[in-house]
Amino acid sequence: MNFSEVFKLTSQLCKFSPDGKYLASCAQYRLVVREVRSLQVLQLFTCLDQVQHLEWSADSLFILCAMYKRGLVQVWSLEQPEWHCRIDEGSAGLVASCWSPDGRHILNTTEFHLRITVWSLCTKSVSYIKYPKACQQGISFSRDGRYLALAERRDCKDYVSIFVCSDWQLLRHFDTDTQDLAGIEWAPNGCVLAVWDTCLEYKVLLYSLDGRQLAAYCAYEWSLGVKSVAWSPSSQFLAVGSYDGKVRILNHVTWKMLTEFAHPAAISDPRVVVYKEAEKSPRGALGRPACPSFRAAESKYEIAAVPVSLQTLKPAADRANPKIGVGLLAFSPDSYFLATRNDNVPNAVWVWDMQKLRLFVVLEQLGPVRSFQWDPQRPRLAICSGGSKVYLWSPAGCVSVQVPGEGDFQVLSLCWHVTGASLALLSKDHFCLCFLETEDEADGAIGQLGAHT
Amino acid sequence: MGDWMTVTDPGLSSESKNISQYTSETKMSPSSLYLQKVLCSSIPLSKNVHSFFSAFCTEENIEQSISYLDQELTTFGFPSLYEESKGKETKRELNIVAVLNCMNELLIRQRKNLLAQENVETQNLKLGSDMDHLQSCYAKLKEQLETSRREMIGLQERDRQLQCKNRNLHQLLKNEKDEVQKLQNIIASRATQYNHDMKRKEREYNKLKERLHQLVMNKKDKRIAMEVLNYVGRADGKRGSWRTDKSEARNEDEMYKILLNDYEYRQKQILMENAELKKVLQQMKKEMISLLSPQKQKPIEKADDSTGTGISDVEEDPGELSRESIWDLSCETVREQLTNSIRKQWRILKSHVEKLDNQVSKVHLEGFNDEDVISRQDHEEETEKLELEIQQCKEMIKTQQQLLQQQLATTCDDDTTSLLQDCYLLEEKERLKEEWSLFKEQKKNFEKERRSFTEAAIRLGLERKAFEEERASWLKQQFLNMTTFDHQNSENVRLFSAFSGSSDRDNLTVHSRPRQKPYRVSNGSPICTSKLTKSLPASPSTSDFCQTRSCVSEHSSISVLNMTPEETRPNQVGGECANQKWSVASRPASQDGCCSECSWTSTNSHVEKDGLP
Repeated sequence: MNFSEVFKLTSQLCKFSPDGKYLASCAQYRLVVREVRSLQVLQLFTCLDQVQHLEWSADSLFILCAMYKRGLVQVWSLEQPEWHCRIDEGSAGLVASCWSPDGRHILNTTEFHLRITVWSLCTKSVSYIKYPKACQQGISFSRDGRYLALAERRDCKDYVSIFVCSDWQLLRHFDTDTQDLAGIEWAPNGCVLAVWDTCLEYKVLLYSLDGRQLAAYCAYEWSLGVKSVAWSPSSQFLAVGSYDGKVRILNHVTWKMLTEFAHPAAISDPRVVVYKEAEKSPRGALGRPACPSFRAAESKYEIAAVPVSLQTLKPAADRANPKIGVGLLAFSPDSYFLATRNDNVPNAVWVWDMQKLRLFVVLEQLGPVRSFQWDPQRPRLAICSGGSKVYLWSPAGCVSVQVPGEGDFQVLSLCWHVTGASLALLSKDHFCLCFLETEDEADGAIGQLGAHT
Repeated sequence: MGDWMTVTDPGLSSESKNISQYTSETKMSPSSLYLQKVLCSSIPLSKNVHSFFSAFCTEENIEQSISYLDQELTTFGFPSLYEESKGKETKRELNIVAVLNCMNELLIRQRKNLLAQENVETQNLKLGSDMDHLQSCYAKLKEQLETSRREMIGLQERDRQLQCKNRNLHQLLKNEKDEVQKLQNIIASRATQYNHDMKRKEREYNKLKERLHQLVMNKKDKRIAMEVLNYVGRADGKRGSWRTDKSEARNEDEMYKILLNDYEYRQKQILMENAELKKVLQQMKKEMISLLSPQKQKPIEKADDSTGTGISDVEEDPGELSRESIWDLSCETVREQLTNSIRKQWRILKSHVEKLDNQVSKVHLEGFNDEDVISRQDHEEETEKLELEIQQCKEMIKTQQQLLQQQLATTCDDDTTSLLQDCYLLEEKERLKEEWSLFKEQKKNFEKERRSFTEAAIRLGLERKAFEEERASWLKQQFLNMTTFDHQNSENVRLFSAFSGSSDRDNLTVHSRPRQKPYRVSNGSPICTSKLTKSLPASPSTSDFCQTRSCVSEHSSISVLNMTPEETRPNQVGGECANQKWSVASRPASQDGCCSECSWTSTNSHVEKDGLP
């Protein structure tokens, strides 16, 4: 495992291009595009203001930089550095901007969600979509890029509009049986749309592409409901994390619950492996006085004896958005594993075996888990917890890796390269790349990772 | 008896109490108790009576006391102490007999009374102890009762408290339920209100949005624009198309195509899955049939019969349709067939397996040894070996036993013999004892006989005496009748000698030393005899008799001598008899007996002669 040098970064804006060749990052108002392999700066673009949003087009030809404060979007072409495009939303303001899947259209959401403007890079045509709903996840493109599902709010009712992305024609428009729709998400196969209600009510609705309601699922009433939703890559499972600290798995045939994964603070099942992060040696060990760095103590994983109780957080009941419930959900690319985080057990990552439908591994970190992401190619989970370490888990085991470099590199976020060969680690104002061994070396390397610093 | 006790004089009763105390204190055997009691009652009475009764009866009031006693006694049903009065005037005489009878009666009653009292007292004691025991029991039980009552009260209290708590909890639960209900209602109302408010706000918001929209969008903000260097081509290289109905229809088509594709894909998947499942089922069925049919032909047939022939008929003729074609038919009948047959087979298999399980468990119960499997041959060999060993061991034991016995026979011979001898000695002892007793009996018999002999001898002696007296008298008469020879002893001697047989020599010797000693003389001196004859009627003195006896003893045997003291002592009075007997007894012992007899007679005469002067 090798680490690149540290580069400057603002707002954690660092993205691999979808084809995996380039890496775009923003420092203040500068957009830097690097080649992933050599980390050579390929292009350097200067924006009008500090970039707040960065997005690659699906074909990796264009980069979108949004400056919400100024209501501006700048688009840069990688092929033609001299080519530029500037979209000004003017007084309408801008709160969100994104590419359409074809990479030729930009969807800008104006302030107050008055409308969504669809700008085309090919024609002068501009489309407007009225009444978009201001919600957690109101826009969802199908994975094949053919359709856009959009949550709308008209006359105090929730609607979903399905557009054909190729010509932005409205395909379907239907009202949803929700009080206050909170999010929509296409299944990976693009045929089923999951719709969930606001956190005040537990309700998950499933709609077919043609607007028929396939199923409605409600686990309980009178309590805070759905917190997170994730489709398995095979479209076979829909995992619904809720505020009661459980994940419910719905199947794709009957859309009924297959099983529910509770997240108890005490783990007593002897089949579950609990990895506990432990500090390797106390800070400032006398054996290494020459070491100039202020690195935090190294850590390693220990396998805890099974009856384990995890650290829990008592949520503040009088505040909005309490820290309870399953807030993070992610399926591994092969759909075999599901990683979750229960927000009132912030230090733990739970990995569930989806073939046996049971808890497989629990990783207890020393700090609260900021984010985790699956390797796009293989069941390998990268975790960061705001410290100077990155953690990797695979069914073979798990390692804790210290990020080298001067000063404290606090990994706040991370993103995988599409091949899984490298990993971008983002701190507050820096980023670095972590190169992992190629597949044939990987198995052996993981075993050695503990010794490697 | 009760009456008697109630009327008794207090003084007397106290007295009797004294006595009873005495008696009760002296713990003796019942047989001796009576005597003791009598003693006790008599002795202290004799002492106390005087002191006590002196107050009652004095010299002066004898009459009055007697009459008083009489009265008292008559009231108690005793006969009067006075004799039957002959006349009214005459002073009645004290009947001593009656008095004594009365006293006796009184004493008896007293004794009885005492006995009864004693009994009663012992009973009283017993009852007292019983009472104590019962009282202690009672106290204990009372205590127990108290404690249990307290316990009960405690438990009741606890029960009450628990009930109270329960009630409280129930109340709380109810309250909670109410609360929950209320809260739910509140939530619901709040929700509706919230929704309502939200709607209101949203409407306002929408209005504002609308207004803003109008304001912002209608102004034709110049700033809202896109500056682009040049338009880029589409990703797919096509030109953008106009939105038309045609395109709409195309989109629809596409959508449905996608959906159809998805459904087809899913159907394909399902079909594949189905096919696989069917395959598995088919295989399972085949295996089941093959597994079950050889063993369980009958149950299958039975099951077929029971479940209906229709299906089994279809099952039985597979030749018409190939299996695969059947499975390709996805019609319901085939499915039903399959599932039914599988179910049936499964049931059979299940029962079979259960039976097997039962058998296995039975076998397990019967013996765990089956677990460590040993081949039969090994087993048999092992047993044979073991049997052989046992045989050898037995033999060894036998030989050792024999050896031990031999050793015992050799080494412990002396002991055994001594033991045996002891046994024999004992036996002999027994035998001797028996003999001894027999001897004793014989001795007794002999003694009896001897007694009878002695008696007979005495009688004989008496007879002889009588006869001799007769003869003496006859001789006297004859002597008197004959010529009166003064002291012509020669003839007398001759007569004697002729009478006594062969005692010439003795007579001669005695004759040579006359009057040396009285008993010397008595040894058949003719002089003595002569004298004897003269003093015959006189009663012999004891001393003389002793002398004679002692002198005779010299001649007699020892055994006879030993007996003499026994014989002589009790029969002091009849000395003659003893002598007689003595002489008789000694007679057969020697010829001297006759001589001694003679001498006896002579001594007698001699003694008389001595005494006479």
